[in-house]
Amino acid sequence: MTAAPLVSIEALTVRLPKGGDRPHAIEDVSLTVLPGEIVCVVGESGSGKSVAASTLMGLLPRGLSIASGSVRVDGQSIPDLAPAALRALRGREVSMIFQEPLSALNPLMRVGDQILELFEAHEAYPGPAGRARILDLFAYVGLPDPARLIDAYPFQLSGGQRQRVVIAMALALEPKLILADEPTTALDVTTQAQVLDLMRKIRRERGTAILFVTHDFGVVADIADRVIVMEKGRIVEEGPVDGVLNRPQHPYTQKLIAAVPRLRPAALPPVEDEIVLEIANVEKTFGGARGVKAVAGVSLTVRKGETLGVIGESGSGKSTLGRTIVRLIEPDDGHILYHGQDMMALDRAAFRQKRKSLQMIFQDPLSSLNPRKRIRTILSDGPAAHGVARADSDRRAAELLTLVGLSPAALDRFPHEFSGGQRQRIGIARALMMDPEVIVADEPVSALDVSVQAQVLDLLNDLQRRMHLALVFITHDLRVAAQLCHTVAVMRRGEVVEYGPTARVFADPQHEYTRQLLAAIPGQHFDNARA
Amino acid sequence: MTGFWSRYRRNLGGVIGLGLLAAVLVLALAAPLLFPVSPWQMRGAPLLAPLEETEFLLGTDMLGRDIAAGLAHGARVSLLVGTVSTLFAVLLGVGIGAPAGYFGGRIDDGLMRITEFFQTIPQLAMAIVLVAIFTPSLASIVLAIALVSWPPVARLVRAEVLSLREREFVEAAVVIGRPSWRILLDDILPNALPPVIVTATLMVATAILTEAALSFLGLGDKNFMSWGFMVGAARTMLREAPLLTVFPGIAILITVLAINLAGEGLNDALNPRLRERGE
Amino acid sequence: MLRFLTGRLVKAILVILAIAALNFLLIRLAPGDPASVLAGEAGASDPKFVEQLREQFGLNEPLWKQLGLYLWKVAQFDFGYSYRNHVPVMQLILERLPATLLLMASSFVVSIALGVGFGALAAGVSFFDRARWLDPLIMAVALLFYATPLFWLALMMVIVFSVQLDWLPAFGMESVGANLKGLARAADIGKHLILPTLALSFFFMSVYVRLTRAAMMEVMMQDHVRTAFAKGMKPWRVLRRHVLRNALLPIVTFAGLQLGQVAGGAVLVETVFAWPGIGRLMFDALLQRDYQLLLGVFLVTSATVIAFNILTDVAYRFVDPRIRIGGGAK
Repeated sequence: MTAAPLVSIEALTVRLPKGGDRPHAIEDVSLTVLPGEIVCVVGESGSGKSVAASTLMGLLPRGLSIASGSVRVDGQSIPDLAPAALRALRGREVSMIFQEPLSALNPLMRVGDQILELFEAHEAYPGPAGRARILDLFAYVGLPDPARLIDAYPFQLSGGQRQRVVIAMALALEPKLILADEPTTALDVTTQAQVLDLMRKIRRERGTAILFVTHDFGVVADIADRVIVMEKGRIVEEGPVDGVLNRPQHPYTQKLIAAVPRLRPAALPPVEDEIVLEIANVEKTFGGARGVKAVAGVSLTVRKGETLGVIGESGSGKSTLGRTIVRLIEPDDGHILYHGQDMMALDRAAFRQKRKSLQMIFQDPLSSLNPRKRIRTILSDGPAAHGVARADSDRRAAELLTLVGLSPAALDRFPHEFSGGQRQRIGIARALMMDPEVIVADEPVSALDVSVQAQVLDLLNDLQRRMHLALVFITHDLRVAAQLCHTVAVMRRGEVVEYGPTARVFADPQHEYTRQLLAAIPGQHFDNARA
Repeated sequence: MTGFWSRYRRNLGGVIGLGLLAAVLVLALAAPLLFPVSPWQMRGAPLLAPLEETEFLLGTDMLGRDIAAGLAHGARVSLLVGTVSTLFAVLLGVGIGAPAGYFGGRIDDGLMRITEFFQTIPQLAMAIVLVAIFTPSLASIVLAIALVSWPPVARLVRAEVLSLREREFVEAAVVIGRPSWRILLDDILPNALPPVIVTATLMVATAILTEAALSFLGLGDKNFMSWGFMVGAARTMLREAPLLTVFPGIAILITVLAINLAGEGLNDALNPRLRERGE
Repeated sequence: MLRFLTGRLVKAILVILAIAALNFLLIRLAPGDPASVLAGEAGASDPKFVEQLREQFGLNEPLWKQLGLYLWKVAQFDFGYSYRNHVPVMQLILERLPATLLLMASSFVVSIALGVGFGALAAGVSFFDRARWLDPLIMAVALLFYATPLFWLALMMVIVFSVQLDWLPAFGMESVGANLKGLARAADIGKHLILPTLALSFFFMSVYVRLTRAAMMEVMMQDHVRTAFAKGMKPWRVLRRHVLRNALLPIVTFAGLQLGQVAGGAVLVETVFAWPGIGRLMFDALLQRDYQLLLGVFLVTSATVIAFNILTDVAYRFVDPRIRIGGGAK
């Protein structure tokens, strides 16, 4: 006999405001959540996964409305609840955790006061009992020094601490259901692992059901009992996590799972060519004498045809390092040797000539292309700055566009006419227009959807092999590094803590931090089960 | 371009504003044709009511000057002073704000100190002092207004340039080897300009109000009839002939209102709001 | 806080001296002989007075010495002598300053109270989704007042409330020849204060209405408001604690920037209503071509604005904990 479902959504359709790219945010969606169950809703951006979750609290964004279907929590129909009853439900029976904890908390109020507000709204834990309860909760979610943190403002806490505060707030009145909307996406992988641990503990010890919205299959593998896969507003597949992940039925699910890079390093042929780029003892400090040392004496080499992965979490200095290689940021000390010649010895004017050989691919498809220029101009700006005639660069631009998988007709269009993945391809073409030997790619696929990521990574891989490029690939995603890189350098707080061939580092990490990183990657047992 | 107009049309206020502004502009341009005699001429009997004599549509003031002619010729002064002073203010603001934002460091510090200094001084008071000291004339009025209005433009341009400097397409321009001045002119400024254009439009309205205030206080150019002067001259007849105050004031009001409405329409057309996404 | 205050005070003094230097520059750049510029229209006709000025301001000395002399005088609060009025400029200013401060303070309070109030109302109806017609109505009225020339509005108020309806007095600060004392005097001043305050307030009120509404609309779209609702809070509470409070930041910043314009508006309002403040004094100085007086009033007006600015800066630091405490974890 199955228990009565806690959550029951049937044939739910939610309208989008006029002028959207489709009439409905979600269409004919049915799902259930049993008490104490963890259900993951997976999908890419625009799948409608967050909309489905927000109907459970009656918190649809302005402009969206329920067209048909029912939404029930614990037997109560949410859209039919009187305002007072709905308010009683929110925060007490059902609570929510959002993606970005810095903006979810009021920046001008102490965190303790924000939880006390919750108590006030539900007439729970009056007086000193409120403070005592908050201290208990903070200890339970693993926050250090609760007595001090309770009076802190959000800006004084780290990202992980803020998310724990939000979780504490969600737990405070012992809800039956927690809605978690991408709660770990904005966190470092090690912090993410801790938060996922915490959520499993909550379910285990308090029997709380969790509806977990995410795009990351690794997280799904680690935490879900059941999975629901959504595409463009509809549910395409659902079932127990084992079945869906290991034997996906629907082509979309299969595509998504295939797009997740394997954790076991790919067997790449060894690189034996000459060293093209050598970074020696590069240092960069921000903020004067007592400032932050972003890059603290880093030394690396890259050969022709090699992909070097620079791996690190936020604050590790990997982006700063990448920018010093192309001298977007001037290093304070150290040498950058290109074919043996020290680039740091050249003044900026002389270096401008050398820039052709050291190019960069950027992270954000939204801001890496000038919105007011046509693609033709964007691509030919570089060669034009070095005296190449327009006709020649136009020809090359058309060639390269074809090479990256776009039609030459794109030359006359503007960036906003292209999707994120297409814009990244244009960014790659722009770098290739200069005929570089070295390319620094700073998180080039992190802002893209999973299925698109795989395509762009394949493209990069292909191009690098064909053109024998030396690629410095900066990322926080170990799976991507495993598939793409010959060598990896792990960075932490400005230092390289581990450096060596990918296969060796992954199989036999020497440094404690590398071991932590590898252990924190979600969904490892799933990887091991994959063929 | 067609996209711009269809977006602009959606704002009813903007359309009305543009229409009113066009009417004022036509009046200003047609003034020498419609009212060939100088408005300073005391042509009629004093204090005629509107339409008391068909020659003087809006009547005459206490010295027998034609009110309608005054309004028409005053439009020329207001629009001229408003646009030219704003143009200078914008040029000055961009010239100071763009390098400050782009080069940063000590150049930024120095330029910003100058900007702060000018911004602290009360605007109208400074304009009064400048015009008084350099004797009132269209030129001194235009310069004075420009000199007190440029700081907000400089701050705005600097803020825009600062944020654009960090954008990845500007970083890309550096990496592919474009020279600094090209990046500033070609990549940064065209993207920084839309909010500046909107601000400039609204500044024309403020400039017109400032010119009117200066003329009201007696600091107008005595060779040109100005709406502010007309209001000032009518002060002695508040009780006897209130209409003398009402007409020029309404002229100012309509013009400033029209510019503000048009400016808001412009803002909406240049920065279309992002639509809600289903997520 | 103390360090911040002393820092700002030092900076303020430097700025005031810089303005004095600017005055010096203007005197030299003006058409004509600096001595006769300083003497003003009335004083220029008296050659002995002009000579005296040449001595006092060291006009025969090298330029840098003149500047030093001028700044030294300013530092001692010596702003010169008004020939026409036969008293030192400083004395005239001190006599009139309280009236202006009274006017500026009362209009500051009125325009913020009513401006923020109506602006919050305009934003609030969107928030609660009731009586939404109030929003465009309030904004239209605000726009109308924003586009109205200040001096003209003042005159129209005189016409309507004083001439036609005879409800309120339109000229001066006190009834002529009344010789009232204590409470009766205060009431008389209050009655005279009403029209000038309203005239000065309407324009700035409209600015605050627009600003408050915009600030609140922006805060309403932020995530922490959604969180507040997700906690089960009542809409009123959310509006007060999470929207209004957060919207106050940009409003306080703006209030500081407005002060310069209020000072300018005071000149116009005092002129229309014959209010005995330094704004009116500036107008008189213009009529009399008394440049020492004009520049003196200019300097004091600027100093007043700077002083008010420091106060709003302090207020801002209290409202925003991020500045008060400063910095934070990663």
